[in-house]
Amino acid sequence: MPTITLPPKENALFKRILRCYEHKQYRNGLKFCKQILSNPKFSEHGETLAMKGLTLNCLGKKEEAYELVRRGLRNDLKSHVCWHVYGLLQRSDKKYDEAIKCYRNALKWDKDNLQILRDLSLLQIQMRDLEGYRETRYQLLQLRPAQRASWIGYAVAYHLLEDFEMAAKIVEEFRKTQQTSPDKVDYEYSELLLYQNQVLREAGLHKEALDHLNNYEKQICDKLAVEESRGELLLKLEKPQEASEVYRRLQERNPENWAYYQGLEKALKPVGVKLLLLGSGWGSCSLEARQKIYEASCIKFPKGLVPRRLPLNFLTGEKFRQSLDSYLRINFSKGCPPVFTTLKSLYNDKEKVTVIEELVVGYETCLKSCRMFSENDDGKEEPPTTLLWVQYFLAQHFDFVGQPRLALEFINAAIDSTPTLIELFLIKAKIYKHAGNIKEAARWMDEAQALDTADRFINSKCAKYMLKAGLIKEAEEMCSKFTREGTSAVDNLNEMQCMWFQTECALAYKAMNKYGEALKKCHEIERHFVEITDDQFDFHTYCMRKMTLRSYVDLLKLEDVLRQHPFYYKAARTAIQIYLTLHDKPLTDDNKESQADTENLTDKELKKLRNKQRRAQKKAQLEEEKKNAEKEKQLKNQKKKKEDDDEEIGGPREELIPDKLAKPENPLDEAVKFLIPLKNLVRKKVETHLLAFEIYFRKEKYLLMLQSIKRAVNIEPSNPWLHQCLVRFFKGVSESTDLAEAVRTVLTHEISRLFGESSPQSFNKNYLSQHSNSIPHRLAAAKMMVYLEPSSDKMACEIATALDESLAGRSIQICTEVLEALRDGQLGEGQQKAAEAYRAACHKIYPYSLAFMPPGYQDNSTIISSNGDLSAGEHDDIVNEM
Amino acid sequence: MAAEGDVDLDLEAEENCTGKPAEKPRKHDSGAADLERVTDYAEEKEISSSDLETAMSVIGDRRSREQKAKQEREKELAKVTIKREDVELIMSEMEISRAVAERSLREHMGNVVEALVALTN
Repeated sequence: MPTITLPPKENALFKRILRCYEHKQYRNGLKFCKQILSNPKFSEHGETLAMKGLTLNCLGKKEEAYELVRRGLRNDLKSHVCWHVYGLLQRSDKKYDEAIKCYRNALKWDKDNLQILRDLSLLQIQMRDLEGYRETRYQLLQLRPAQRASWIGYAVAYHLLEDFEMAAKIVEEFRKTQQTSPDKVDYEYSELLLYQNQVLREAGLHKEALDHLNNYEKQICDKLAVEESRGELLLKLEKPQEASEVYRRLQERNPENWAYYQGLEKALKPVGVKLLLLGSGWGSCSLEARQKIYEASCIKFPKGLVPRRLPLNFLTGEKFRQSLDSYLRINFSKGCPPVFTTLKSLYNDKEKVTVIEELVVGYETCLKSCRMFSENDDGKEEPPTTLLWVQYFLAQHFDFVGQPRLALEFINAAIDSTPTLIELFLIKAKIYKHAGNIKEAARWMDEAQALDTADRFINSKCAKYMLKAGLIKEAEEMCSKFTREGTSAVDNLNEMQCMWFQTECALAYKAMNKYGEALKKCHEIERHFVEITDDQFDFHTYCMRKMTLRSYVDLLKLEDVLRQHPFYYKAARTAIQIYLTLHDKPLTDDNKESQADTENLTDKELKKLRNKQRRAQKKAQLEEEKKNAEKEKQLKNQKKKKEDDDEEIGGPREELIPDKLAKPENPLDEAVKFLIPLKNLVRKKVETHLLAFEIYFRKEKYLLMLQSIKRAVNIEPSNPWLHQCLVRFFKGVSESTDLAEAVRTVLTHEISRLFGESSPQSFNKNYLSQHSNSIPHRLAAAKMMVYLEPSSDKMACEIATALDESLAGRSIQICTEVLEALRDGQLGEGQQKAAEAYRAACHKIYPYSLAFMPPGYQDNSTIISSNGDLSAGEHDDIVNEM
Repeated sequence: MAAEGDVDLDLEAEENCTGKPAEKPRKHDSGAADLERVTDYAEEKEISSSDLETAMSVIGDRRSREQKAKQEREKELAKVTIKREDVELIMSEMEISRAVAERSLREHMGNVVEALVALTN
């Protein structure tokens, strides 16, 4: 169909449509569309049809929109407007690749169209096609050198490509064209200057950057940024005298900022810094000088905590004891709850731990007997709360060093004296958690929560503990106290991207073998990350316009590594583990998850279990019905809301159905989807590569296994899990037959590099003899022994079950793993007896841990009341019981 | 805002309306309003300066040099002959796209073993 040209009147209308779209006046836009289209001569006018579609899309009518835009395009294939509109529509649907193609087509018909080039550049930066972005920005600059955005965009392009000098040059050329008077405050100009300075610093042009700061200081609004950058630059230019002055000024502003003390230290002792850089640590000569800096600051800022805390990192011996003593006394007298947290980083040093313990235990004894920190103190009595905080500290201390019995003693003493302090119950719960009894922990967290139901922090903590204890329903109810009314707590928390909750849910479902539900949570988290990535789109224009370039570049860099975040890592790890399990043991229709461990039960127990299951099923059914009714109601509400919400973009995503998720066609491919971001972004974590290995091992992709192994070996060569990967890989390769020649060549070459001249067996033996003093390593070696030679189970069992105190790495976690390995046959079949003996031995070491309770142990304590309304009487009983 | 859903029908009735439809009331999310403003239309500001030309020439020079270097590198890579089955082997073994596989093979002068070793690093 030939292109229709609109006569002047209609053409004017069409321009108004465009303007209405730009200004979000969609209803007016539609009105003008109608005026054009109602004329039979123009009823098939392509560009108008397309614009009508685009406008309707903004009002949430996606299907209609696609139909109209496509029809418009078909009527006028040579119109850049139609192609552009089609691109915009695809973009709103997040189909960025498709959108780029459309823009390219549009540019064929109008190669210098500014708007299209601009839109194209937005997509390129969103997709991080940096080279393409630079090209497009160059064209824009050529076409419109008089526009600010042209320059800024081009500079940012070079900055992101890490050509800092060029970026700085462009900004400078642009800056010269800006006319500003030195006295006028112009925030955007100030931001531009700071951005320029950042680029100069990243270019390593320290001298230029410093001069730049000095020149334009008056016109920069962010004074703090100026000072901090100046300090940094002076240090780099080795001007310690001036740097120390800067850092002193900064300290005046904020005496609690660690970085300023570090800066000051560097400025005052360049010799020490060099020693540190050379890896030889601080020379002893500078230690005293170092302490002096802090002593001076303590006098200057008598209430400052940081100048008192920081020296504890480097002081030793008697000096450490003295400084620690005064630091602790201040905090205990004042009643500072997080004092233990501030000292946690010192616990790597065993000597320091001993000093801490001696001092604080000493305080406790004296405070109890004479209300003073020490008998030698001259008569200054401490208030009773001091003892409370000392006991609170000691409970955390003994918990941290793995002595739950003592920890409980102290926390119970504290609770006896002050039964209304929430923090105490929090720590009590924590102690139980670390001691391996999560159920008891959740109970105490619930107790803490009941003391102040309006405290959201404690409410969340409680929900988290409940989830860890597998009490999903109760946790949901707990959270519902703070979520919006009218929707279910779970939906609301998902909407709010409350990821800690979803992570814990996923883990709880996984522990119950409810893989579908767990995967649903993992996918929900993954979607949050997709959403966060999409959300950056609007800022490509906004930040350029507002000149907030420092934050903009920061945002882009953050988005690049977004999936490094622990939330993503945990979700991905959980999902990968589940998919691996589903690959190994796919669920069939009648093999319901709940029936997984019926094999080991007697008939009677089985009957009981079946009865229980039947009852549970009935209950679940009832609940399901109730839930469905509720859901319908909510759905109605939501629908209404959606209709209201005309900016709802992005089509409805495929619904996540647990049953479907639990039966993926190809679990390993699903696992790879979660893995890829980790491989790119979390390369430094050994676990990433080990997860990768587990997937590729099952896919029999030897080169990818090799890749995972090589990367892991570089990070932590003796890692126990890695050892198991290595052995399995080694064995797999030696037994493989039909490999492509090139692959075979690579493998042979790399294997001789990794393993030398050995066999899997001798490799495993070697590993064992090298790490025979560590339980996790022993377990790994033992498992591999059985893997390579099933008849060596007896010896393997002995190696794995050693529990001697002299062995390193003993923990509840690893002991549980050993026990599991005994039970599930990884250390040979028929180890039931050994397992029971091992369990009993562990129970002696970890009496609180649920994992090692004797068979038939029943948790008879009070059931958690999720409404948190334990009456005062009941609560006393519990305290007394303890 | 039920009317919002029936735009087509309502249009005639509102023939004379030229203003923006009233903002719908937002109670609990004041932040959302700010977020929406992010996508508002804004006029581009122009620089009124005469020495744009010198600035442009500084940049133009640099750019042409860059492009040349890049093109030469591409040309060199394009000259390398690679085998289709090698590309396909790399793609399936390493689970990567054709473009990446081809590029790595070219960068290693068509030597499939070297390319694979590099990819497993």
